[in-house]
Amino acid sequence: MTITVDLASNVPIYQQIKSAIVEAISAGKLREGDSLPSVRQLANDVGVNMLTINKVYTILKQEGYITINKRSGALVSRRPAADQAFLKTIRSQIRKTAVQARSRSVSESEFMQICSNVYQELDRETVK
Amino acid sequence: MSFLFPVLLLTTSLFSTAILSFLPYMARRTECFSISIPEKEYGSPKLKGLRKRFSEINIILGLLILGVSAWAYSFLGNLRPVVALAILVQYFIVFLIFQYFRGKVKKFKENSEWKNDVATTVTVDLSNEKKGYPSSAWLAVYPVMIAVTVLLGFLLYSRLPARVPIHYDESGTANGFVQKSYMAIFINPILQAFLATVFSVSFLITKSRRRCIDPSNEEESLRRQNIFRNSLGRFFLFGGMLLLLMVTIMQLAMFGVFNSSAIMISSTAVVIIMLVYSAVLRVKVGQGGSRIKTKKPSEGRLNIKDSDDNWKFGTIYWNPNDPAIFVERRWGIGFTMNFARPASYIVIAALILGIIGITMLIKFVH
Repeated sequence: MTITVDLASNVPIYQQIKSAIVEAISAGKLREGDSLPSVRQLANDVGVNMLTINKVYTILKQEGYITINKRSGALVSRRPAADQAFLKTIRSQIRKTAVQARSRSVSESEFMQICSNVYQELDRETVK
Repeated sequence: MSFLFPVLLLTTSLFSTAILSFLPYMARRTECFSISIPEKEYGSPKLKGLRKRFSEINIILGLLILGVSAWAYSFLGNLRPVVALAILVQYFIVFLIFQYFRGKVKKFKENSEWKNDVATTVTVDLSNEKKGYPSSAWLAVYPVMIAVTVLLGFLLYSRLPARVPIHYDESGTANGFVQKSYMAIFINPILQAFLATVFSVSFLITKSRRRCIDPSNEEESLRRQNIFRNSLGRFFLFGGMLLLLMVTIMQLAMFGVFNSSAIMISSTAVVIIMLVYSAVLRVKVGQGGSRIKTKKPSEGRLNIKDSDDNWKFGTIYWNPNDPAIFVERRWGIGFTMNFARPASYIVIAALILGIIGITMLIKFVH
């Protein structure tokens, strides 16, 4: 299971790693109980400061994707439930995206089409 | 025993010549004389020719130095300084030759079309398993061996002679002694503790080493890297045990259980086993697993993180932007340190202090 980080990208590295891990979880490539590399190991591999990886793991922990254990390190937790707070967060995220789409006259049906395409694409990538 | 030493001269000289001429062939395929190259260029006629020429020059140089040192030996009759000097001179000349070849590859790269085709991405492995790596529980063997050595010391204390031999010359005659005391039985265990620390640390560093994965060939490059990591880990683990065992034999010899030729034989055997083992690693595995056969060719592009400028003289790694302390060396096999990190100096200082400490201790017991 590998992830690729673009060092020349405008997207901060911690965000790239974070979304790559979330994507791997969503695609079933990382499952509940799988352990992630130690902060030191991942920092070494990517060639970034340990603080960067610490940040990634802290955010993932806050969002409920992983648990951090003193002995066994970072473990993938059971998929967090989509509670009210979470739905509220993605609503505001989608709102931002929809505003951009609307400002360029993307119709509602076109927008919905893109959403469903993305979902299908993720389904295809999912390991059963 | 006198015939052994010319043979020793011959073998050390031939061995170091063989290793030195083989250097360009065990490097990663993304490097040539410490200059990074795309993997597809590795087999280009130009670089192939340079590697071959380097080897040829090295073989000739090695034979020349062997001839001169054999002549010097027949004159002086003393082997140790001759061998030491010969090896020193050889490594220094090879270093200069290496700089020349490195310059050639650098020029070749500057005139190439691929010099700006740099990959900006890094691919990393997210799985945490160290498949095939020896368990760290094996490190517990070291303290056990040390404890056994101490215990033997106490059990055999009555057999300790008044003047305890602790150092031997080439012919196996004792030439260094300490007074009989309980301190004397701790000299060897302390030496073992130092060796055990060095080998344990190397073992643990190897375990969490940086893995550079080629995105165009993920599986194969991971496989190669893991084989390399596991073989190096086994090498450190086994090498440490072997050296500790040798010191235990030295401890027994101190009490007269073995005579001094046991020390000669065991230390020669240890040196030979370690050399052969490392030679097999170089030839079979290569740096980063570069010599392991792969089915699929790699793209192996230049990497944005791995600049030639970070390798001073092609051998000293200086990269303030890299948080890693231990990195795989570009030239030769194994690791080197990032000298732009203060922690590297702490490691070196600890190593030097350890050596000085042991020497001081022996002086003190003396």
